[in-house]
Amino acid sequence: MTAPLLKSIHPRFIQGGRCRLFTALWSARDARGGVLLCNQIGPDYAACYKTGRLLAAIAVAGGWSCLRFDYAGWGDSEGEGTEYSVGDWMDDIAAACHQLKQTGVRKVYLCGFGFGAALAAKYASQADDVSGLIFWDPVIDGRDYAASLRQRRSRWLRGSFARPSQNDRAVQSLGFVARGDLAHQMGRIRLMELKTPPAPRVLIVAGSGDGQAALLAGRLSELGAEVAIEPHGSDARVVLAMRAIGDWLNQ
Amino acid sequence: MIAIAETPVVIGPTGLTGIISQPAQGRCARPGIILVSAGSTHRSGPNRVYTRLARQLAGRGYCCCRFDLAGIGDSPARTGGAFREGARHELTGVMDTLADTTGNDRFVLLGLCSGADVALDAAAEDPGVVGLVLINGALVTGDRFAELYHAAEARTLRRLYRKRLWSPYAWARLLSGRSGFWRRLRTRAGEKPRPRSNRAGGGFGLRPDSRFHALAARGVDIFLLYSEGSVFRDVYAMALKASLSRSYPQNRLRVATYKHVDHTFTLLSAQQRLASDVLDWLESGHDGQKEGLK
Repeated sequence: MTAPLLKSIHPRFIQGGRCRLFTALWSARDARGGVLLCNQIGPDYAACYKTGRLLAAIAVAGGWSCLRFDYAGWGDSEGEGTEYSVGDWMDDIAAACHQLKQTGVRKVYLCGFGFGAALAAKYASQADDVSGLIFWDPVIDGRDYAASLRQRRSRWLRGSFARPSQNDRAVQSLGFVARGDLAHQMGRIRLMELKTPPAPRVLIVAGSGDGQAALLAGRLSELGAEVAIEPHGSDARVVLAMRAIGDWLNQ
Repeated sequence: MIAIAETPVVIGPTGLTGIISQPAQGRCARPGIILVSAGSTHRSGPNRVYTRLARQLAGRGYCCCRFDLAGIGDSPARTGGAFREGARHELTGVMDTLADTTGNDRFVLLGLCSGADVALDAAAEDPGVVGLVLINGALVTGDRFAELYHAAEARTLRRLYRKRLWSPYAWARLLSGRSGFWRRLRTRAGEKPRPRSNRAGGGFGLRPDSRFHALAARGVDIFLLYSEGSVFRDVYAMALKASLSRSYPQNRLRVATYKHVDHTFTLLSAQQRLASDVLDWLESGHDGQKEGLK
């Protein structure tokens, strides 16, 4: 499955909300639709990069084109995290969505990892062109996530040789720099407070026993979305979860 | 700093994904710089260190390429063969692409962690490589590397414990039984005794191999960088330091150690120091072009 994919990857920069964004497109011939991967932010960004690549492989094998992009100030996109807000990242999702549609697809699904899932949900609830959402370990409450980032950073610092400078303290969370008010902005995203379904169909992929994910599924069902939950756990379960995503997309 | 341009590229028949950063105008007269994938992290590098470094170097007139080795980031997996051998071939392909794109035929390879070892392998064989920046790399091979690694790790841990002697938080965790120290102690209790960490590198049968001899013969400049929090700083001290200082031309070797910095340069201040030192090394003539660069 890997070899044909290689030939179809198209890395390029596109214009995002306020700067150029790195994108990688995997095209499927006569695509049924497109999947836009919304990355995690924070220290888990690199960890979920491979997951996105594998998911793209599964999506393309199932006949879906897939676009990955980096938010402004992240990865290979222009700028630094200190320059951009959550609002800018919403604009980046819109730009990437537009880019995906330029390939000719009509149906667009967003697949978000961690806080990327929260951003995808926020974008979808404001747009009318998202056919479905896939949440992988979604951040349900931005306040909790911002607090957990702070805790992880202080725990890491206590067990590390690294000694932060004053500048590091002001702007940084574990290698990634961010605006001083980012935690406040993140805190305003709470998926349990959504008033309308962000998309007609939602698949939540979460650790088995993730009570928060079950609560989110319940809430989205109440709002009228068609919701499914797929557990993941060990490596083997992750592969199964990916296959389940492929099946769910094709339903 | 001058304006830069970045262009994504798909490299070679295997389709590796990379990004070339270069000055927006004018030719790159300086050696091309290739940033070799660090561990399993994609081309941005751990904590985005490669992206920032490539842009700063491009802003000073260098053409840089950061890319994903096969099976990492957006690059397809290798279909067969060992990692080191495959990675060396892929790196040759990247040098060819950078040469075609920018006209450079001389290169400096920069690698962090396993990227340093891949860079060293490739540099030993490719006459186009005129400089190496090796950051927290193992750089030694041999049957007894595992033993050396364990001994080096013990030295690193002792350094960490010494540093934490003054931390009330660490004492609280130790006394409440939550410290990783107890876990390590339990694990070690069930293992056979490990070699003492103060044994010299020669005791492990490890010494600079033929790669360094080849580089010395070609006059390749090397910049070795180690951070306090990296176990490879101790591997260097135990297995490489003495012999390299005897066998490698000292005017072509610079070594720097960073205090208060972890293995992957997590903090932005550490990344800034790294970029500044690499630029200083490049511009002081250690890039295969001894004159006319400053």
